[in-house]
Amino acid sequence: MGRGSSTIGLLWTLASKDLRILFRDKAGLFWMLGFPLVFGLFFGAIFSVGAGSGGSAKMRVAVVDEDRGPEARAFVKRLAESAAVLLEDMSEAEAVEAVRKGRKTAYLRIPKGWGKEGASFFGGGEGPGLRLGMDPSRRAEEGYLQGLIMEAWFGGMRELFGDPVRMRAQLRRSLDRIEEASDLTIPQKMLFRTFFASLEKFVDDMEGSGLEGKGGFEGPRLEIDRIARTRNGPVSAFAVTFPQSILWGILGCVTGFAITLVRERVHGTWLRLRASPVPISVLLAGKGLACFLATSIVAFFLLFVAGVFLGTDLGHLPRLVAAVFACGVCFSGIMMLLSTCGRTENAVAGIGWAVMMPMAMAGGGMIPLIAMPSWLLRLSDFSPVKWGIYALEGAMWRGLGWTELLPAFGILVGLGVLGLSLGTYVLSRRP
Amino acid sequence: MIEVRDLVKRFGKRTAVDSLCFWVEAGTCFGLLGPNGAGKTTTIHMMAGLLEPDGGSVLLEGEADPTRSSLKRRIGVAPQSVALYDELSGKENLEFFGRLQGLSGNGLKERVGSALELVGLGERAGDRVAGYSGGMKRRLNLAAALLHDPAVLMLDEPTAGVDPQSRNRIFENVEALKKRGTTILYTTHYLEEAENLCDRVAILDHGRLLAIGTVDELVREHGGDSILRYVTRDGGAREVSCKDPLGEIARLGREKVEIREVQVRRPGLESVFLHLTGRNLRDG
Repeated sequence: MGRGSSTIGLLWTLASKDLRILFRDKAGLFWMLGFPLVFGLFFGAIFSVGAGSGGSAKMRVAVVDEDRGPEARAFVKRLAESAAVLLEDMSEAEAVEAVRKGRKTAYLRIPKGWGKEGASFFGGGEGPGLRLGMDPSRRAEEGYLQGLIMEAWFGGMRELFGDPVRMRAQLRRSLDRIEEASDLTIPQKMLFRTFFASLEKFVDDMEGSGLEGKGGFEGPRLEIDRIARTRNGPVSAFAVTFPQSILWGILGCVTGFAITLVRERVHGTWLRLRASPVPISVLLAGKGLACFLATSIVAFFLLFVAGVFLGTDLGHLPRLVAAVFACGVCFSGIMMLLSTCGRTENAVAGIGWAVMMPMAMAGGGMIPLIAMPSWLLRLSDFSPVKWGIYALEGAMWRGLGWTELLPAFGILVGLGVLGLSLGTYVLSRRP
Repeated sequence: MIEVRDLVKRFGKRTAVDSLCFWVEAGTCFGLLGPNGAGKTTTIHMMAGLLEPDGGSVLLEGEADPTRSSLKRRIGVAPQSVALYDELSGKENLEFFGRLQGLSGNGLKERVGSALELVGLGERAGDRVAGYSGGMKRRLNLAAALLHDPAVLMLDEPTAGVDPQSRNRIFENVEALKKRGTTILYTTHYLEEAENLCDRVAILDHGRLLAIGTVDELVREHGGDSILRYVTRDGGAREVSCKDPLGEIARLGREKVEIREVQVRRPGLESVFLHLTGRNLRDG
């Protein structure tokens, strides 16, 4: 007969029993997973629509058209036809600021004279080039946008080949620039003259033949302007509502577990646990571990939904995991303390929500921290819910480093340890 | 062998257990008989290390302090309330409590299987306890206390609110455990259970020990006279209180009293309790 269990094994036995019971309780599960998920989705969707960012998946691009010529206008028109971009005219200063603030994905500057010289596909590199301003972190969008610009530009080339008059004018302008070029030698100039004469003849022969679009040309000169975005706000509304919903889920866990501790006492299972050779400190630690694991499961489930299904940027993952664990420690301690506040399930449930509702209301559970008036923000410092949300947001989108997050982690873990110690002390002394 | 010496427990001003002294021989069934509030459960809890006594001591096989893990491993407790998790199946409950007792692997599997078979719940092992009848829950409650094969088994009102079928099953289990040499402490307020199952009985009231001994000893010492009721040939009914009913019938025969019908009611624990407290046990 196998005898003897390690403390870790006993803790796991106790915690897994509680988790099994928890996941068989459909009502409890709703308050821990269902309600927070609905909360996060519902308010996230409302805020997204309200912020005007939820209705379109297009890249929002500011266009700074300093050329204002027909080529530039036609180029912008072709670009606007793409289903992937939403263009808006802006001044250069406005456009740069919009990208910096994250309101626009990118800006595209068309410099003065680009239509005459820069847009040329014969020696276009000589004229002024386009400038694409983007956040360096948006690599994928940058590549995609460059492709769209090329597509719009080549669209112009197709139009040019379809219009021999414009094509000849373009060839003439290019030939004139070669004649004026001082950095070309006589043999080089002769070579270009021969090439352009042949090309002009080619255009004459091609006229109406439908072979436009063939040949090797260089694309438009594109200069990239890297603009680091100042992250003083969340990228998505879900990045605000999901930390809130995680805290609601955690509060559901806390109440559920505080009640189970009383239920164990009322139903006599606590007596049976006490009659076993397992020390009371291990029994209570098992309950704390179960609560910690449940809060972590809730948090990771909601983060998974936010990240995978809603495309929310989860920020710095190691810091996020640390924030989830810090929240788990804090609220497991609060659970232990709450379970000492009453001798019946109803009493603990009542006291639990009476304590936690104001804690959640003042701590950013309803009004997001970024939208709080300053007096409420100061008041929220007294709520552990605030520190939980702040730690999660800090890792997700506030761009806080380990050092900046340390006070929040310290408060959460400190409160947790205090709650666990006091709760264990009181419960272990009760007959 | 269990020894209880001058055990005292107070809850505020109320003394729940007052200088209780008794001993239980190994391998016997010892009954704690008394009405509700007599101090039976408090006594059991102090003996199992669940409550700290305010005075006195408990010695289990010569060792004091039943809060120690080594002693707890030798004790099995079936609490008065059904101490099981409704959301888990019978088997899951036993596996959980078995692990807390240090069982694991095949040992755990075997013990769970045999405990379930013993209480006749093998076929319902996979069902959630929430779906069990009151009697089945009681039987599983007993099985959970037996898992680790304890030397001392404390059963606190194990048949409270149980149907006759489950009650008989529990009696059979207790008899079987006695035969295996398990020392059993059995609290009850049912006289018949104490009379039928217990080798020795202690009668408690208001936390105090009123009497202790075998059922026969208790009846002999505190049960008072037998009641002889007889009807004569002419239809007259008489009731006589006497120590020796057979001797009394013989005396009536010698006096030529023609008896048509005779009934003898011997004193039992009910009479003992009545004699000791002045009230019936069932009155509480």
